[in-house]
Amino acid sequence: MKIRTKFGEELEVDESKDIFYFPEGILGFEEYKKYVIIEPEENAIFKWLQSIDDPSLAFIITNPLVFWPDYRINITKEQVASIKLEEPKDFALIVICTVPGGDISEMTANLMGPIVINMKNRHARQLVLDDPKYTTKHRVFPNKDGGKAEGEK
Amino acid sequence: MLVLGRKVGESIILNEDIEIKIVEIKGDQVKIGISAPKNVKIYRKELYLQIQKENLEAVKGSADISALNKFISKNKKDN
Repeated sequence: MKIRTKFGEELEVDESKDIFYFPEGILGFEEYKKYVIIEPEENAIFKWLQSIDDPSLAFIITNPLVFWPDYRINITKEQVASIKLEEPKDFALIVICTVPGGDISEMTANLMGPIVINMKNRHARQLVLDDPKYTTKHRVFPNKDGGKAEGEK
Repeated sequence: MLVLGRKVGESIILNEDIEIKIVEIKGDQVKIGISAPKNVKIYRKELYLQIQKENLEAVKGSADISALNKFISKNKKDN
């Protein structure tokens, strides 16, 4: 099937293997259940999580372990029941990034609401972590006066 | 909103399969126990709203991530 991206491009996706299903949607966008991950180039650190149903809906995503190697989350069976995650090897983790005012140097990542993916059935879910270590806004790049990339607000 | 008075140890049943129990009351804090089927999503409201707000912000912002990816991989090679 053909889909349209946020940038007006047309993309051919294979429904049987390219689509990720969010049975509960993403918080705030519950009605959108199907997404594809678009890699602007090979081994891209930042990718797009593009909605299939609404071209204007796309999130910048990244692998949190690239920027926060110590990032660890506790997941309960209940939290992954809806995506039927059983084997750790099928597990993938991404986080959504925010670019305030289009200024990439100010980019933050939401480590409090990571997305867990079952790569086997391609079902995914956004979690709400109850861990005071993680907020919705962790700086991805150090700020100009040399602060750490760690994420106080 | 329906308001019910409950004492410690007392419960409320919702929809036959969800039980909300008052476990402990200490000052202005109440500990609540919830038994519900696995498919019922339970969040602390303020955390839920925070994530929702961040998602809405994330969609608003846009960026040329392709340029960013190239910049990062170039810097990696230089280092």
